Amino acid sequence: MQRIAIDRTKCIGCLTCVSACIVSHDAPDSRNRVVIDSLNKAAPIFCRHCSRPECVYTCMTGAMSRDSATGFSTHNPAQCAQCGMCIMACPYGVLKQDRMGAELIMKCDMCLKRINGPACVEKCPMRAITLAEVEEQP
Amino acid sequence: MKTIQTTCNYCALGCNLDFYVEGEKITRVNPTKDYPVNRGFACIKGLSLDKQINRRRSPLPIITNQRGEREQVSWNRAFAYTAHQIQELQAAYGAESVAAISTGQLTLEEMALLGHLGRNHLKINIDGNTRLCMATSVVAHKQAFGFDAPPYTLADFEYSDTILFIGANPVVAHPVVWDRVRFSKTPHTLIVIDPRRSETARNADEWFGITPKSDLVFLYALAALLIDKGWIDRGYIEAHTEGFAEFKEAVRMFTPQYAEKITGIAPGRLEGLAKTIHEGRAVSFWWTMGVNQGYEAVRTAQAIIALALMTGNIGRPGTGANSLTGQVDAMGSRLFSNTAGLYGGGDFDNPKRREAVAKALHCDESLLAVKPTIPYNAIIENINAGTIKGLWILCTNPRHSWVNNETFRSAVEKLELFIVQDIYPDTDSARLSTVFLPVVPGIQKEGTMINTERRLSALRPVIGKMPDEKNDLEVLLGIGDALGLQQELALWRTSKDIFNLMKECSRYMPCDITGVDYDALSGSQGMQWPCPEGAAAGDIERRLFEDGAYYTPSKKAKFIFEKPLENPTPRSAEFPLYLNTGRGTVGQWHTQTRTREVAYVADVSIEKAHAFISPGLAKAHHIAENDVIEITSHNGQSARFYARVSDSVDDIQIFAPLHYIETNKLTLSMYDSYSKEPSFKYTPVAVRKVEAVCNV
Repeated sequence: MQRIAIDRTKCIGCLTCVSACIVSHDAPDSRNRVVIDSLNKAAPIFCRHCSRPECVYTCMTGAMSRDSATGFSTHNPAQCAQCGMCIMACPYGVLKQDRMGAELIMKCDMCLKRINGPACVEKCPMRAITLAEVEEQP
Repeated sequence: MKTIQTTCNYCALGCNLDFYVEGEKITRVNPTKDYPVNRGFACIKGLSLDKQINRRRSPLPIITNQRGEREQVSWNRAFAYTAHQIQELQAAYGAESVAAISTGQLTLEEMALLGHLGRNHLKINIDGNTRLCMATSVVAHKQAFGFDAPPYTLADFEYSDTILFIGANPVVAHPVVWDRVRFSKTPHTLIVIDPRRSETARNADEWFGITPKSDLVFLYALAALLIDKGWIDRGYIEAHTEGFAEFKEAVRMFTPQYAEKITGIAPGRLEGLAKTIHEGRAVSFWWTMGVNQGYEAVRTAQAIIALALMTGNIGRPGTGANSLTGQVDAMGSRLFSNTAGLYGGGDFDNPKRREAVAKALHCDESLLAVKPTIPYNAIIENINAGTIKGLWILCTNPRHSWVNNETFRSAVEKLELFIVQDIYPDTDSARLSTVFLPVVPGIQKEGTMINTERRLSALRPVIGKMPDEKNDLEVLLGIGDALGLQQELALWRTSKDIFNLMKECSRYMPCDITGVDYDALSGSQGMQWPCPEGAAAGDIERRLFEDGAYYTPSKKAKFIFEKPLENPTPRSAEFPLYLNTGRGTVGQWHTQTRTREVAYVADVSIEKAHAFISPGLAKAHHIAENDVIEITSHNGQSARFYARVSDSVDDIQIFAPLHYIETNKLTLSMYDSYSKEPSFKYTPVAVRKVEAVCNV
């Protein structure tokens, strides 16, 4: 299975991954962000597509679901009741509502519609964000 | 839902963005897909242009009254008061007792109007913060090419098989450029010459970490080696250049062995670089502030130009000696501000140009300014000397950005009138103003920007103005009218009016834009100059000098050499380190007045000033990451920073991002002799640990 791997030692906080995410989705907001940690180092905050995704478990409408083949958790806005449970449940604080209509959950979809894969991976100038093969955790 | 294409008014690329607007609400911002500069991508600053509207306060002006209280007043009162104050000062102390400083972030029309109002009518000095940025390249171009003409198109990145960045860090400063380099389909070798192992250097095939400010010796030695090896284009040199024989003779002394002592680069590596250039089919040389902001910067830029000329790497796809500019409309400022030269180019004492410009402006030739402005540093020095009593600054923040910025603080204390025209009333400079004139940001304005590759693009309002909100053009007209110049400014009432006047001023000049239609720029791919009336539009991405004809009287480009200066402020036992400055992150723009509003940027920006020191220096001074250090400068000032320990600098360098006011507290009042651009990149300093901080 592939996941986005982040090497924080290479991150320069340039936000190219955030721009790439916004552009890739023609969206008003990004599905990722980068913050400064307590030691003044850049810390990218990305969806981890958890093996045991709390966002999926807490979703009462089935809008948030996990593909067992890819292991990616994705969000279907058509089914979403905008209850916000996924936002509250995410242990990494990644999920948020869109800033305009507060109607969409800004959830990483691994840019599944892109031929070249996740835009953040492609655009990162320091190769701090890469795709890595991981094993499914039991 | 409307979609409005406009130009990002931050950096010199001038990316275009599509704003999706419902009523007065911006719902989405996307990079314009078919715009030739950014082709559907943009950095976080451009994508966040809609977010710089939250920290503005009242749309009404503020005047500091006689009791020292800041008082909100009507626009009419502010215009009348400002005009009266200017007239009073000029009556008491002479015309040049008032001065102005503008910016490369105004539109060319706003800059032109300010130049007409200030330079032609009020007879005051006006310089721009472009002096801090591009003045070196301007002078280098004028002397070598005969006109301030950056020769390239950004597409040259994609045609180049050998790319040299010299004092340039596009990964951070021009991310869209970096995107074009990185995804170029032409296999290329990337060389970075920079004393710091910058983010771009870390991506290079080879990095030359020269000793700070040894760049001129390095470039002369490289030129000498290319000549010595015969790796030059004699045909091009003979047909299209002059001064080569003298240049060749002058650089002969810069042997690789001599250069090694100054630059720290071994002769073998220098020869390897010369070979790489020789073997390149299309070699391009790109420079920015690492070159421009030095005490012998013009000659350094001209050494780069010499390398391109002698190897025939100019005027062909993927080549050129190419200066990447800093601000979005720096080129508009250079050509149409009426400060260092007449509108459209030409010296103030050139009778033919005076006649042509006066005719274009429908005014008497005697109205035109008769001399170039005094430069930025002279304006500040004259305030401190007491001869300038009133200063008007537009969209710039010199209390923070001016070199050795405590000299600006002391200057403001001496001013009787300090007019600040800006989006925000709380910038470091605006807080000191006696008159604050609030203006709307670029997303509410219209006009024209000229980017780093000479491309004119349209700034168009994506949302309207609220009652009492004014744009820069309206404020300039308001003050002009209050000065009693309503009739004289009758032809200057709109952005389109002014653009058409400037078009006419440019006729038959290298920057001829008579073929550009103001309205047709909207929603377009932009248009590079030259674009004379009646000429075929040509390719959307064009370079200059393809025919080998330059703008000098002989039509030949000039080799220019000058013996490197003795370092005016070398390192010493008291100040054993060099302070280098530059951009910290992509999201932070200059003094952060606008980008502080962007949550994405604020989240990743370190709040307080910090400086990068090497592990070796940290160890020697017992400094750990995030300890507070004090840096003391040769200029007599000290400032405190958080220490960041990084192998991007060596043991004799410190690097401090320019986004914090502390950084320019330390820089020197030292300038290039020809461009008067400050030497921001090189200050002898000392460091000491103040306190250990475990967690900031």
